[in-house]
Amino acid sequence: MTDIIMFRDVVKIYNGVIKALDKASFTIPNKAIAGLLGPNGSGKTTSFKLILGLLKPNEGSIRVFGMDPWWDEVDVRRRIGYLPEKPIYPDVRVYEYLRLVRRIRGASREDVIRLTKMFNIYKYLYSRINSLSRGYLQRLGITQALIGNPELLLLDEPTANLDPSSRREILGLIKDLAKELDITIVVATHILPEMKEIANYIVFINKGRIVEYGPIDILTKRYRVEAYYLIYTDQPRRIASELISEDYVRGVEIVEHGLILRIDSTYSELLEELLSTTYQNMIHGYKLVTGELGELYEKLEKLA
Amino acid sequence: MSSTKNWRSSLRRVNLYATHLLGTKATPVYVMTSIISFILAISITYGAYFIFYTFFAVILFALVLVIISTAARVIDDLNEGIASMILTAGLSRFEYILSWLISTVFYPVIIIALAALIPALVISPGALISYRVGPIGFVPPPLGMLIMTFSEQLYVNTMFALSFGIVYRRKSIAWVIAVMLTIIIPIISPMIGVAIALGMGPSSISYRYTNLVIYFMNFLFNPFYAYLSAYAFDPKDIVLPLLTIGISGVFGLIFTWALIYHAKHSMEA
Repeated sequence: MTDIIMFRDVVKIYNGVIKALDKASFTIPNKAIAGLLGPNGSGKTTSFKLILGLLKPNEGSIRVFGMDPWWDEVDVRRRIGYLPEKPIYPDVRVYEYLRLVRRIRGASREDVIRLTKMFNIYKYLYSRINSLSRGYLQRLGITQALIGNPELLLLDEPTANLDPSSRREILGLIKDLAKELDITIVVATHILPEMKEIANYIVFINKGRIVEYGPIDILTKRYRVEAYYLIYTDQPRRIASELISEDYVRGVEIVEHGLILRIDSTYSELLEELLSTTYQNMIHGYKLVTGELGELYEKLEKLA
Repeated sequence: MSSTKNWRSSLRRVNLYATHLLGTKATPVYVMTSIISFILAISITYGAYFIFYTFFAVILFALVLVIISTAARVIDDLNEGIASMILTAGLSRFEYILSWLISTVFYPVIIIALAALIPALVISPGALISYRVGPIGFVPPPLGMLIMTFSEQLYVNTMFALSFGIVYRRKSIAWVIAVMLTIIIPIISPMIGVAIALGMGPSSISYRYTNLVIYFMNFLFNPFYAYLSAYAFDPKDIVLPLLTIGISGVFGLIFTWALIYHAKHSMEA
């Protein structure tokens, strides 16, 4: 896979004082579903603005689609869809704003209508943007970001400040997008569980420094983090007694519909193969429940 | 070929955003401009030049303030982050600033100039270039020169004030500069003119030389006032008026370029 985003030793200093990025170097490959993970104030939004050419780096070089986003701003931005953390729209009606974006990007009217129906904001086309709820503002944000079929989608804290049901809805939409669209998606967030089910690539950032980046499966193995498997079975005790003797199994817990197995993630593939063959007739299914991103994050945070 | 295509696409985007602004944020300036244009056109069409001459300064002041108050909303958009949202849709910084200038400064100035020029050309072309005796023996300056210097001043005043507002990202700076240029300098320049004439001794007190001082104090930023002074100094002199129009025009163009250049570079989100 070729890299769609490349940062090399990028330094960004605000007002000559605040160092938002400090020699940041990372790449994001084409078609990756990437998580830009880090605590608040770690430099995620700054990184997005640099990718979009809204900010100019003080040092270092950035390449997006092989171009410099500051100097080739229009060519880069036209290929990117962006949902800011706190989108601030002009005080106009929804259709007026979408029409403006559509015309600037040269997209078709049908394309926009399809998106507004897909994200369920069609009925609000004549409402003023300022009257929309936070959840619908996010829907509008994602809609406008997807106008013109972008090759790269940047979502900055897409679920921040949302109530639980809106958060679930937006997460569901992002998951669907990740499945349906054959594009690169980068989601900046500090909420790790949200990324667990979506991302296949991560960039860890802390205090403006890139701690680690790469495909999740490689990183989890490299840092030997634990994986949790929920195994649905009617014979939990039997399976537990057989697997507990394995070296890579770090713990077993019997729960209502089966058991939770805690293992060294390096052996995930081995366990999954075992479950699909040896234990195939004894289990109803299994799923990776939680953990590895959080643990990986903790380990990397100590490295920072 | 590719460069031409880029320019065309760029102009298309500028036109799109300028049109969007016309329909939303720039509406007040067009209401005001339309009303004033209508009054100017009617007064010229029916030969009511005294309306035109009497209220020129008031109209100019009102127009500058309305244009500044609308154009300076770009500073709010820059500070609040709306500009960033628009830029991410696929506009360049240059296109963004140019769209604002076109919709809030260029168009109103052109509309005002045309509203005065077209009826004057149709009804009484002679009034554009020659002065004529008005009511009660008053000899007003040629209409064409007035319109030209008026439009130029409108443009230079607003561009100068707006550029500082954008670079420092503060509307108040734009307002202060606009008021300074449109009111304060024209008011204090005659006082200084008189003071200088007085300082030169009683024998030097001269209406004509006072006007010359006013001219030099205004010719860069306020070509309209400078022209009126030059006319008062010598109605038949053509050198000073042409100097005013030329230098102010060049200054206005240079400042437009400087504004776009600095605004573009100060537009980091």
